[in-house]
Amino acid sequence: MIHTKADAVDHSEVRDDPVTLIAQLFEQHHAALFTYIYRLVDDWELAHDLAQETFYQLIRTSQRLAQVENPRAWAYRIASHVAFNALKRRRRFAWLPLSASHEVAWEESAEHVDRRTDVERALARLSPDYRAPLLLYSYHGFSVREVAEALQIGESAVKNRLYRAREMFRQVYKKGNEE
Amino acid sequence: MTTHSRIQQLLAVYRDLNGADRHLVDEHVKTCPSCAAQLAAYREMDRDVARQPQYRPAPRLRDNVYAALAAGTPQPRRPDRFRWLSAPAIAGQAVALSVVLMLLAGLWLILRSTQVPTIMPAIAGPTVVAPTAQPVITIRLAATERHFGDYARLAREFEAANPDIKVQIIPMDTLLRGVRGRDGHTYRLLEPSWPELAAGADLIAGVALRSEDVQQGYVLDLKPFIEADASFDRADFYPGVLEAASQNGGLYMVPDLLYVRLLFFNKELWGSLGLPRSPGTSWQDVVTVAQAMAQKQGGTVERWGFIDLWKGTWQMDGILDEAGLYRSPEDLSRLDRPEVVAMMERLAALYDSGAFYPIGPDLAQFQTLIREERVGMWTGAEVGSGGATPESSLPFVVGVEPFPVNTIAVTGYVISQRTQYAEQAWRLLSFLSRRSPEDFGGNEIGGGVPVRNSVAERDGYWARLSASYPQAREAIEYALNTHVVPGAALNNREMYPHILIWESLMVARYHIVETGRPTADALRVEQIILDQLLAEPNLTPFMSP
Repeated sequence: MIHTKADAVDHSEVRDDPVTLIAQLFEQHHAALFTYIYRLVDDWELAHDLAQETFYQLIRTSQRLAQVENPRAWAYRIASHVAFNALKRRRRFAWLPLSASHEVAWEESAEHVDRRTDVERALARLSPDYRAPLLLYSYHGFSVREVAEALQIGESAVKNRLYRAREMFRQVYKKGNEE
Repeated sequence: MTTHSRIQQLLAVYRDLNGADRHLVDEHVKTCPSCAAQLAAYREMDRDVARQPQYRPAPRLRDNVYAALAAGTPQPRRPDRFRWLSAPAIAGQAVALSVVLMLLAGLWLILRSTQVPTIMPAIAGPTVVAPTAQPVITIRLAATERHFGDYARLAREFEAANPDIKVQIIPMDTLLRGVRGRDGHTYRLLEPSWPELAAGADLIAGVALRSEDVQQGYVLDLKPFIEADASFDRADFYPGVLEAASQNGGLYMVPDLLYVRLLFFNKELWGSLGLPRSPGTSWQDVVTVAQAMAQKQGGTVERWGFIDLWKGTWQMDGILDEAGLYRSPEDLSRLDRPEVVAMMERLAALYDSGAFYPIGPDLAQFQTLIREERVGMWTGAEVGSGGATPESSLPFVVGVEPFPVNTIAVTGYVISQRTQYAEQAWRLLSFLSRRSPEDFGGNEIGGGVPVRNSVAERDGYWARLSASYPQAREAIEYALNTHVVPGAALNNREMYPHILIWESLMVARYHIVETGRPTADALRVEQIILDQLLAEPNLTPFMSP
């Protein structure tokens, strides 16, 4: 079974009620969306602002939302757009290891925490162009097509970036483990 | 691209492969150890990445998004303080359990704070005061942030006509009691910390008052001011409302809004059951009718009796009242008492039979159930225009009755006993009471009935109400005539520690109904948690003057 943090949910019943649809998207995906944005921008406060902006944009474009085939992918598309714009505005990136001090949604064993630090660090070292598809594919359980939709790139570009992201991740991760 | 390099790319998306590509890769890795190792490494990578934690954003994200949803347009970014946890149109599943507690005592509202304010901002009217020989006196008006804009505008108008008075609006939110909930957040109860409030403000708007607060001498008797003020027209108030704020011959609050809990029902369905219906439906009537309306075939409920959009809080109120456990916090001092266990078992049985719809539905479900006549009675009076389905959209006639438990609550203006400028504070009160904020009653049916005829007229309150629910006016008037008795406006319960007990009951209810945990066990666990919460010194005013 494919592990996904937020399994795709059928939103078709509330398709013609944008307020309920957005509320449903929020309830089901806001933590995952926030996590995605946070891993992209690596700034706790900024991630809050960008997650909020994502939902504001969903509200502003709610008429269009009613017509999209996959509301979850649409929400990630907006989130990606918002996050990449914010990254562009930043003059330089600080690809620092992520802080583990934030509130985490579930309890983990010490072993997992150790492991997570390495994985998070490796993820944080990828440039956002490679981090985003890897997160969407491996963490959020998106298909290649959904990743393409969310990032507004072609499917072959997704495959290419995923391959390169995986190779870079492997190297960083391996190096980190050898240190 | 060579086959090998093409396969390496395919390995990166192995999960998505099918058909020829999947076959190609599967065949290749059988004979290519390096590609097989690569595939294994990618799988491990997916597992490692997928195992990373999901972060939980701060509650302000939810608050802001729902505020924007309720408003229909995104709000500008605001500082993080004093955010209202109002129940927006998308109540139902969307609102966290804690929000449910808003209606704990019929009226009390809860605010959640992420930081404690350290300054008291002055939002004073910037009016230029005309030169005068008289000293200008500043009256501190405490109001909730929600109405700051309205009060600032009204204050400027007042100042223009009263050059000897300057109005300083202070956020009442800073003077409310704080309580730490089980979710770790600090909630501000709209239950003033009266010593601080009385010292920090001359005039307080939109506050609920308790008989005990009057006895403690926090507020002034307003009767002498009313009698001396020729412009104050008692006849403008709904009959009996001023008396409702009276105690021992004194009058301590000039009411502004009445909150009425209304029960809506499918009138034809009720009629078809052959059960009597008259104004003044009791809680027992609600239960009997709900049981008669419910239809269960095998294990499936085809029609529910009573659905509570307030996540079951009204149902819980009713069942507590019925069990005689709603008089004081002491009644519920031990959740594992047999009386409490019996009460919760009765509630669970009502859910199980279909008489009560369990837990809160989301709004879309709620409206669908009503429209498709799969539920006979519902709440919705206080959920705002989005929650109250207009009768014209339904294929049957809707009846409206006052909900029999915690039917009304009243807010109004009070003057602090500690003011040095009682006469000036009264002049401001008298002025504000006639004007009132623009968004006073809002669109909520029964959720804020202006008690002054002139204000209701200006607001078009009754016309708006009748347009949505022709029968609602009669129900509200019945509630006003029946429940607005002398002293009724001062008959509020203290929120703390009742709020923590209530929260524990709601969580226990969830476990009993949704997870099937034995009633006594669920209550025992909640008692342990409750003891811990009550042991914390968490009853703190947010600031001292």
